[in-house]
Amino acid sequence: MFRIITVAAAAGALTLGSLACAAPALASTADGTPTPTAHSSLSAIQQAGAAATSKRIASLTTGIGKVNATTKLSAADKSTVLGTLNGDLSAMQGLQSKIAADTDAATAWTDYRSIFTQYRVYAVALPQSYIAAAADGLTDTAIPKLQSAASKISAAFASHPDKVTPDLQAKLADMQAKTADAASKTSGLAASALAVTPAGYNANHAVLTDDRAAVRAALADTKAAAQDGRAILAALK
Amino acid sequence: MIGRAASRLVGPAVALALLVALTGCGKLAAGQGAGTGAPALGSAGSGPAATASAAPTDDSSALDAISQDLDSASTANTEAGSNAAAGDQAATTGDEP
Repeated sequence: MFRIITVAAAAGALTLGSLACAAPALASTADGTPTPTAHSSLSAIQQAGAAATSKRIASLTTGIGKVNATTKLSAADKSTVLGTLNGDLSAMQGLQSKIAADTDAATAWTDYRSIFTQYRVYAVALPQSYIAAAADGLTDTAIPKLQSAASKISAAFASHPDKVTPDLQAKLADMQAKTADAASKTSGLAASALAVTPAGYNANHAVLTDDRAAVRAALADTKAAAQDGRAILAALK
Repeated sequence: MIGRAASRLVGPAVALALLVALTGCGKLAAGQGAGTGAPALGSAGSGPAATASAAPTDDSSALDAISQDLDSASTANTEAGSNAAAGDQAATTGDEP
């Protein structure tokens, strides 16, 4: 409901004219279908609408399958993600039928534009779902396992001080620092990504940029920490 | 007379026997406990050997546990990387105006 209200508010704030200006008049969609304008014929808009909705229905169906299969999303985040993706899937199916049945170009144009402005399947729904899955995987599994490994390595160092070199100590310190950094970067990250709405994207196309960068940086940290752990483990064997 | 004399010797003899038993045998028992006894008392000698073999087992278990943690972390990293890439791909291949 919140999503619908916020999207409706954003849609109301934007004029049809500005939306028309946002779409390149002679551009084409990624699949080659000509991008219609407010002045395009009904059939052209319907053709583009069918292509855009079909593409999104396929992507959402794939995404929903992945989300259902993953064990890395927390239960709460999985519920949120599935709610969004299934809602968008249903909406795309509805829009596909509606645009095909529209009898005038103006109505079809409005419906066509809503594919983007109200749902933002590629710009928001799918990216935010994947960011949340990545963040939850790091938060719930990778980081705790790295912390556990570092703790056990510390215990092994205490048991066998003869095997501990300054280099190994430095690697353990780096492993702990990288893991802590990843934990800091992923703290609240899934929630932040999932809070982004199509309206938020309409107002700021970079609204997911920071979250995307954070998950990438956290992933680099956890990979580096795991490498440190592997190097230490090899030296202890 | 002879019976009385004999009975007088019984007490010291018993005391001596007890003394020998308590001192000599006690020391022997102590020696066995220290692992210096005959091979027949091998249980004492096997003690250090058992301890020596337990340490590598413990170390091996500890290293295995570390390895398992790192394996789990790496698997999670790989999956997180795939998800991050999928998010990037969705954002870049879409045709959102």
